[in-house]
Amino acid sequence: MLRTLLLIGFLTILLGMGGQTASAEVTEVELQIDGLSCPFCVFNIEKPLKKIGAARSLEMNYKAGIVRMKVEPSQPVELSQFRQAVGETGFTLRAIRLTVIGTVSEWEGHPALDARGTGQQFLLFKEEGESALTPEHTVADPTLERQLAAWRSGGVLVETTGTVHEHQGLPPALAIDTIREMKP
Amino acid sequence: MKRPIGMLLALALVLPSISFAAINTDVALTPAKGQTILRTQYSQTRKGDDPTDQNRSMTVHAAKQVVVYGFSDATAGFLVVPYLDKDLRTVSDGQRISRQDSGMGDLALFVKQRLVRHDEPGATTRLAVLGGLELPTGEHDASDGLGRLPPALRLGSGSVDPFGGVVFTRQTQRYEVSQDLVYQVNTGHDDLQFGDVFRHDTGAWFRVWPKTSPEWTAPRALHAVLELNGVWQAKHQSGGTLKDSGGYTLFLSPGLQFVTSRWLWEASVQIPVVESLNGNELGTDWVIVAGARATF
Repeated sequence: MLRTLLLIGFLTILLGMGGQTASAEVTEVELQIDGLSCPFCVFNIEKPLKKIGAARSLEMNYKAGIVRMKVEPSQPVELSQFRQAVGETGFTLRAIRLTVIGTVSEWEGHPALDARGTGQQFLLFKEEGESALTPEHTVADPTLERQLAAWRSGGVLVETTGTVHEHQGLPPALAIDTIREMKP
Repeated sequence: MKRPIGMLLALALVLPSISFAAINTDVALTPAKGQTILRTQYSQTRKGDDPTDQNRSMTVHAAKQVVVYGFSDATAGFLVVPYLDKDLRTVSDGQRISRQDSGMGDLALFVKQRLVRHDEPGATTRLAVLGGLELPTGEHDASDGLGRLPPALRLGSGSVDPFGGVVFTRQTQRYEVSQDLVYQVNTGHDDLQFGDVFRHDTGAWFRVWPKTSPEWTAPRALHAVLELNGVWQAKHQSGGTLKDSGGYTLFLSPGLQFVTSRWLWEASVQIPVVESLNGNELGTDWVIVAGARATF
């Protein structure tokens, strides 16, 4: 009986931990915004972005036109929310950079990242061709390709930061800036 | 005098533009969608230089409230509410007399629609058109012991007057240049039709502090502002043309703005550098302007 109770307790803790990890996926969003040319612009941008539920904290580099947001672990990140918020302020969103934690997977033979928790999938690549991104685009780095394959087969948790590229009919893609194994 | 005026007008129209949400014009203000800008501004205008022997002088105190609301990222609505206090002093039969009126002036309601936007890192270029109405909310038929107040002392035109214009802005984190041109058709009421008005505002600001844009801290800046504000008005009509009305004045307006991400304080002095008025119209000695802006 005691052993059964201990087992139930252990499973409960394990499931609880699983619930926690399942909530964190995109940890940071960085928006690169064109047209920020006066201090008033900063408030114009900050106000709508702070209303997005996923944004936990927000800091802004006025000189470079960069807004950096930490993301609430429990909130899903919808890229369209950021596009809409910046669009309504009358500025131009040049790029979105994400920091994502997840496991390496595959999408139609192409390296991908399954975000922890929701499983939202991002294609991974290093170089984009002149035409639209296709699954044929490769990581273009044999060492990194081998590393991704190893992480994939081992189910290793990785953290990657990259710029979002979106193409019709494909999952969003991340142009990898950095990628590293998460220590347990 | 006509030639330099023509040259200056041409220059003002041709210059690529100077004048941010400048101090002496409201049309360049631009909120984001769902946001509001409030501007409050006090000005004092001193007129004198009377060419007649009546030794006339006039002082106008004005408190102006401007509310701008962003209907979308490209469309903004403006409400301008002026409160005026006018005091005309003159000599009549050897007696110094004062004629006064004060109260709300004519409200202006207009919409600005952005047509062009070109954003770059730390800079933007925009072109917008605007159109609206000045409404007859100011008293226009007040009298005192000497009879009906003269046109210059009235608080309103008594008529619904449409106006329209264009605004161009080029702004970077270091400087801004802009230009606006606005024409107002005065339709007239009862016995008086004020002359149409054409305004052009050319201005620039340059950030004098800090030397470089801040990075991860809240931005604040001190701007040195220089504007050229021109006002041309046609002669008034009242059973014929009033010869002592209308003309052109061009002001050189240096000023300062201190701006944070939510607040802005500003002050300017307008000095007439070109004045070509009709008949015995009173000229402007100077105008001082001070105010603040907030966005929320």
